[in-house]
Amino acid sequence: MNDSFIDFGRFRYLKLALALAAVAIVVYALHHPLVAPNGGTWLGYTLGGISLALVLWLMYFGVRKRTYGPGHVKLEAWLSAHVYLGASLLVLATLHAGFRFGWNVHTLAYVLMVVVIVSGFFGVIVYRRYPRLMTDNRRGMTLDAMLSQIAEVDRECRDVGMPLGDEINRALLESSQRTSVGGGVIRQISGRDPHCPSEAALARVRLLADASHGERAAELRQLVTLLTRKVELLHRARRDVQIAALMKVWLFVHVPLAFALLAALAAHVIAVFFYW
Amino acid sequence: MNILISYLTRKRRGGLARKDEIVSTDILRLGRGADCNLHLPDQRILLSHAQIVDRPGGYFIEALGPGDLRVNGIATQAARLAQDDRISIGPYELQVVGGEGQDFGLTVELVRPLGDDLAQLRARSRTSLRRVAMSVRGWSWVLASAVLLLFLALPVVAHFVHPVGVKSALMSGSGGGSPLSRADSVWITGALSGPHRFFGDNCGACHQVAFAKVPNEACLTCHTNVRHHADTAKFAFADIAGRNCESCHREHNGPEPIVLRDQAFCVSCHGDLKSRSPAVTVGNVTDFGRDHPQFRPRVIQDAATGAVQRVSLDADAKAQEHSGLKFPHDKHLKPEGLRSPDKGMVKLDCASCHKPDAAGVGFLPIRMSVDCQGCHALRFDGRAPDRELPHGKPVEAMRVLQDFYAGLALRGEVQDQNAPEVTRRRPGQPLAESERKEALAWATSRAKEQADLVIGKALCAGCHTVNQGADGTWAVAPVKLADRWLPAGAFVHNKHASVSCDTCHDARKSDAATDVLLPRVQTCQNCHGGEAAAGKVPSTCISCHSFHRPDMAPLATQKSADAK
Repeated sequence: MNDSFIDFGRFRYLKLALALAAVAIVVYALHHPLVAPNGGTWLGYTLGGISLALVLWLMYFGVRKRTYGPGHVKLEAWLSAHVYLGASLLVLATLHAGFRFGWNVHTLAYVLMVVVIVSGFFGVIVYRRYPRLMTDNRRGMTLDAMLSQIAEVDRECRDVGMPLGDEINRALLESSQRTSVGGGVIRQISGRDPHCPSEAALARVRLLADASHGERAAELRQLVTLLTRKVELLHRARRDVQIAALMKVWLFVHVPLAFALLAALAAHVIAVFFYW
Repeated sequence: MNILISYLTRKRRGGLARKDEIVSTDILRLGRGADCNLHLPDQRILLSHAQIVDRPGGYFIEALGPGDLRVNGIATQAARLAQDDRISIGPYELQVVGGEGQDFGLTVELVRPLGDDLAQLRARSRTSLRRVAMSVRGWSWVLASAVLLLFLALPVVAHFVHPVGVKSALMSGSGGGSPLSRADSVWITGALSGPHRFFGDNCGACHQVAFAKVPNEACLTCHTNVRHHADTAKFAFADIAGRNCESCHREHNGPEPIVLRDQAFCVSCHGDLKSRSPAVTVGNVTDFGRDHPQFRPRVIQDAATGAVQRVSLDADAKAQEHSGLKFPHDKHLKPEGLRSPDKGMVKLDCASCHKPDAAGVGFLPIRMSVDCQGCHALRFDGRAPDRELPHGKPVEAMRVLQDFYAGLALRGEVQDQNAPEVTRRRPGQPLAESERKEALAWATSRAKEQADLVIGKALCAGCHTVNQGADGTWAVAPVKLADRWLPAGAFVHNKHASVSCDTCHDARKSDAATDVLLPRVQTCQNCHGGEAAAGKVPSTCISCHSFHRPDMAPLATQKSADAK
């Protein structure tokens, strides 16, 4: 996915969204209902209807983007419209509500909508920024290649460490047997492991190397070099996992809350006519 | 000692590969170190892990460090070795076997290799969110279901659980009911108006039927005295009986009263009311400040019948109130004051006679006894300074006069040269019947004479129109003072207390009671503008007029009257 959805068709959908919002604002400003502006005036129903239709259409994007093969509208166009018309909902729905909020299902729907839209903005930033960050971080390697190099370094460490002291071998064993990349949601998103056994091993071996002399010191320094390389590979692998997680995690907000929004909208529409 | 050491390696396709070595030594050292006779190259083994020594009593294995050492599965620091003993050192398994000519044999096998680093690293590393969090689809189902349950299903159930109707809501009181029966409170669209809050946490009080607007009966349960806006017999288009209360009185818009204040609502009809019906008498209006019609007070045309007529304050023929009373305001409000009979000079102001009513809206009716008689005493004869004629009762007044002069005549000593002898006699002398008659005849004539004076000229006629009948008796023409000249507009006097009376009522220049001392609409417009007026008091229609007019028929139907 490249940036072209931003300026697709010379910002065709940005212009459309701005025009929609501007018309809504002007009509709202000229509209003087007998009671405070709310969703129950003719303008309220109109804005609510348009907003509901937009939400349904925006959610249809989830179906459309899974439909591979040539459609008569490019996916790029769909995404561009999805982003800009989705953003215009912030104006339409706020005017529909007449700036009135409370602790109720109606405001719940509004809040869900705002969170979905804001998470969508995050998604836009992610799509524009993160693929490059990921490419830069990988330097031509895949995550699997990094893991494979890490395992290779572990083997080298083992060979070099074999004649060395028990303490060093214990640290190396920890380093090779307990180090992991990624983990739970927090681990993946944070991109670091505060208790990384490899970093601990590097620190330990470096300390011992500094305190040693002669042939032993040379062996230890070789080990320091190897572990430093391993830790550097680990950092890159974790950053890769982090970027991949960030590129996905907003969808865990965007999509489930969009469905929660759909449910809240159903409740909202039924409620206002149930208790007319 | 000589030891046959056999290194065993399991082949991938099954079977064992074996490599033998004979070691002659005093101490067999086992460990990772290159100097060990039995070299165990694995990180899990210590540099010098253990040793096997020939001691009196047999061959012993002894640990050389804190490493893992078990003989026949039992952890030990030192143990004597016997044929077939199994020794575990870290990932290695050793077994004592026959020596095939040597002192004894040992088989050595790596049974738990470290394994593939890459495969293990991959197995430990969870590098995709898909592997650690519930799927996007799963979360979607969970959240959407939770929302539908809490915000749709439960409220619908609540509607059918809790009692319906205002009365039952009032009975159950506020805050009662199970949590389930309150589950529909999440549907509230905004705060209720203040007066409805004490039963409003029960949605079913008003929202009685699903997918139907709030029925008027719900409102009329309490608001029994709501009235029509107009005479529906004359103005069918203004009939509001079939309309929903809530189409005007929109609830859930905050604590403010739910009365429509917007003049646009009134103007939608009153802006061009004349075109709707030829019977309409009120003028068109779109804004108080711009085009409110001139006031048309109901002035009394005939005090006897109470007939009134609406006369515009702009009319060519000046509006005149025919109250039957004579009262010059200007004389009573003279700046230098008035000479009162017994208090010297007094200065009167409006409040001397016009006392505000309890609500401060208007004024108490003017009463002779309270407001006038302090100065205008109805004394009729200097010889009786304490006696007054009764007010408003001419027949009784005649009787008082008759009685007074009869008393004088019968007592005697009347100081009047024209009076008969008998009335001027010294008191105490008895009267003959003929003398009595003569004295009373004089008294009757004297009373009539005095009546002609005090009723016909001096006292009553000062304020009233008096008429003498053919038989000489006096009658006072009826009086009717206007209670409210503008009954359809609520003017609240005490809200205007900071303004002097003269600002609106030109009483100091009025020399006749027929003057209608009302300000014209322009006077009001000096301060008040329409709803959106800038620099003036914004005043909407219902600032003065009520929609449900108290003088119209009640709106409540018989059915709803039964319901209460």
